[in-house]
Amino acid sequence: MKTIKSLFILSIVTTILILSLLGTPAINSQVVPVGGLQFGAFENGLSLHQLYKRSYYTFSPFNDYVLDRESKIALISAGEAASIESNPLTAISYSLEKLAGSYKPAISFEGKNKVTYESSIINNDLVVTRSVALKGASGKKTLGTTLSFDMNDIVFDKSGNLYNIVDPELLDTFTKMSGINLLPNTYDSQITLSEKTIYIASNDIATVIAITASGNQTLKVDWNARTIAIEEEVAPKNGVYKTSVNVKVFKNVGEAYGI
Amino acid sequence: MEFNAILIALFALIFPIAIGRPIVHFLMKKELPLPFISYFLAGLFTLFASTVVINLIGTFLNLPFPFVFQGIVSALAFILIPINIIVPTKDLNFKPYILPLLFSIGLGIGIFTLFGQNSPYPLNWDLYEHQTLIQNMISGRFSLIPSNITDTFGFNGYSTLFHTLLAAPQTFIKSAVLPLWNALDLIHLIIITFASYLFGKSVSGKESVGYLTAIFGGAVFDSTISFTNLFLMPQTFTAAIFIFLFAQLIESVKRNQHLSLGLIVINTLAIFLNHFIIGFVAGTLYLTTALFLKFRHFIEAKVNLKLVAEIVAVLAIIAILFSGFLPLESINKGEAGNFNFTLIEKFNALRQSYGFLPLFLLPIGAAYIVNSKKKLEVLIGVITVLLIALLLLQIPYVVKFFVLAKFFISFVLALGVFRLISNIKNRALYVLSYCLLLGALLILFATNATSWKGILLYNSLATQISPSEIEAASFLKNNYKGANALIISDPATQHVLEPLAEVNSQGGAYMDISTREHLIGISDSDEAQKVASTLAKIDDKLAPAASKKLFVLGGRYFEWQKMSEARKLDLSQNIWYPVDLSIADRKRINSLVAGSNNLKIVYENQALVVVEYSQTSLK
Repeated sequence: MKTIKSLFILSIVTTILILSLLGTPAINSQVVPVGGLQFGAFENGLSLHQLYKRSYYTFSPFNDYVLDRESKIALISAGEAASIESNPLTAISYSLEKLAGSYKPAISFEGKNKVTYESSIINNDLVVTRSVALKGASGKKTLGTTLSFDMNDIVFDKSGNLYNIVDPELLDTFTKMSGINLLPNTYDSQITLSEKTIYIASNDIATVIAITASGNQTLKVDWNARTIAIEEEVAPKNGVYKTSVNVKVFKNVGEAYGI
Repeated sequence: MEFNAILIALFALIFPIAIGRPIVHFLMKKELPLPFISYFLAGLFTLFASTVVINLIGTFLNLPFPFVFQGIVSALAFILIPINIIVPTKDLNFKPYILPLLFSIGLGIGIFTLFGQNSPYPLNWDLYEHQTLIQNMISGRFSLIPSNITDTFGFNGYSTLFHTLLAAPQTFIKSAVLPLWNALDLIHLIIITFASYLFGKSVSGKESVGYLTAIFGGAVFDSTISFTNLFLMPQTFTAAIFIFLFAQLIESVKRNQHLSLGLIVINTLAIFLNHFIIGFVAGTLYLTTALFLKFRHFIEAKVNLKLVAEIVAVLAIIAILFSGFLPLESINKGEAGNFNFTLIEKFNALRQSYGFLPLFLLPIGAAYIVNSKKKLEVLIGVITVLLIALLLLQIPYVVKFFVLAKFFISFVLALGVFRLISNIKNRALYVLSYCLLLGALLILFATNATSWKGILLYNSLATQISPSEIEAASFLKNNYKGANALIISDPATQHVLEPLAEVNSQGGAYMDISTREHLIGISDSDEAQKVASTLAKIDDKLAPAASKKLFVLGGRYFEWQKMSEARKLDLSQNIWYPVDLSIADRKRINSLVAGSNNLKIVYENQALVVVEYSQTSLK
């Protein structure tokens, strides 16, 4: 009888504690560090950014596309934004996962297609994996991942080719800081790179992002639209097209170049 | 944690006790309950009073303060500490405190380690201004009030008791600033946990309520303004002294050994001198309670206490309802409004620390108090209600008083839990219920800490200072300490660099309006001459005119300059987190330095560039 009463009281205590935990306020900015940047899920997708800075480098289904003949079709249309779940339970699980070092930002969108972005992070290495269930599609498709860069970000490769137009004074500062002379490109609006890695030195944040194409991926820069695209032809597995993008975040060009 | 840092922290705790014990034994005829708080305060006051008096004589004789201060500390140590040997040892019965102390140390280290995840440097923002004051003191300036020592303090919210205590060991033992404050914060957390235990145990007479109060006191982080358990600063130091004295008062009443009026007044003064605002409320509470308990029979016979309670309750409700209509824009240039919280915001702050726990446990605890009809518990219940009413007032800064209310709320919550789990007769389930409570509190703590630290993210750290800033401070210390130099930068950069570099700045984070206006004037200027002439105008009015000006241009400086003018003039607005220099920032620095012979880069790293300004050409 005593044990039953004790169990009953224990269940009341447990209920109070569980209900109390539900009072925890939500944490809106659930992020994890990647090098000098933070990485987290926002309404538009997964973003690399630094707190309070204005620059964002976002993986988003609104920018990503599937090639249909020559035209690019966005994976998700405007107005189909994902809702970010922010409640006491996500706040608690985020905090505990962060403590354990196992938090991995992810986000899903469901519109005309179902698109999921998942991530894995080791120190300053980030791999973003996108799974797309393309409605009515079968067979191989070419899919593109797009990252936007800011005006006056410096976009270049390891051979020293510059891929966008930059304020000359800023470029001069970059050269003084890094010791690297960048050669202006021919300024074709759209360039397909022969190199496998492209770098973005942010104008606003002390950071350099390297995007490396793997396997049959191709890197393309459109400086007019200020975008870098990673295109890849993929075959579906169980109706899902899966692609990955490798990103590395460095403190500066010296670290990126290994000098 | 550095050995010297721990040594200094322990010295600050034990030295006053060691010199205060013989004094208390000499002055007091009867044994005091919980005498160590009286020893500590007697030692602290002896140190402070000796410093004040002998400094006056030293000034008259033209003796340098560092020499005088070292002499005072040495003399007190050599004269008073040996007397401990001949003092009767009846008070040294530590047996009842060993287990609670070990519990406090264990919980303290656990919570401190959890909070320190990805935060190697202390997150106590105020440490920088207090360490600046301590260093000014050690290097030769002493006064009763902070604003006479450094222009970092424009408002004298406390005496320099706290700083004298921390300066004493630092005159003999050297330690890096940040490890030292990590050690001080850890010891403070252990003391707050232990003080919570003593308070809960004294009032209830029950060990388990003491432990439960300690769990709530140590494992709950009040992360909005008060910061009771995790950060050592005058307000939390005052609260710790207050609660130890309160526990002593309760013990004295229970043992029917009422404290003398003289001691009550001295204790009240001790509370007040450590923080004039928190200390005023805490001192008033202590004094009123002590007098009430001392003259209880007389008061109960003459005064209708029920009527008094009803009048106070009505006045409190009126004050809570109408305080929201105060014109805040007239107070402190409108800054006061930033520290005013609506009732909803206060409720959310409570949720941040406790979840919904108070909604369940406070009523259960209150019901337990009402039903128990124990006069001491009822008294604590009344004080808790008064403090909650104070917190609900819609006037600026009242949330700071949570630093006092936390102990009383912890006690009522502890009673609530005790009321529930004391009915669990199965031993294993009883222990399990404790574990569940601790687990839930740790989850709340982890979530609260993660959220609070979310605005301090820098690389993989949550920090207020970056390794690059620490390296820059080390460079400044090695090259400009004692060189009558002045750091000029945004408020936050000045704040973190000044105590680490031991190089002066104009006001640190509290730079005056005139300096702010000078810096606003060059916010988007790349004109070297304009910048140089602006730097020439900035000086610390408390110190001799600087012979070298060091313009520190860091990521924080440029972020601060991007803020609106109103925010730059606002003392509550800072760049709280480290920011590295971007290419655009570097471009501005290069063009600035290239345009002037009076500006020269003397140091640079990824976070900042130090530009030396001289009226004569440097190139």
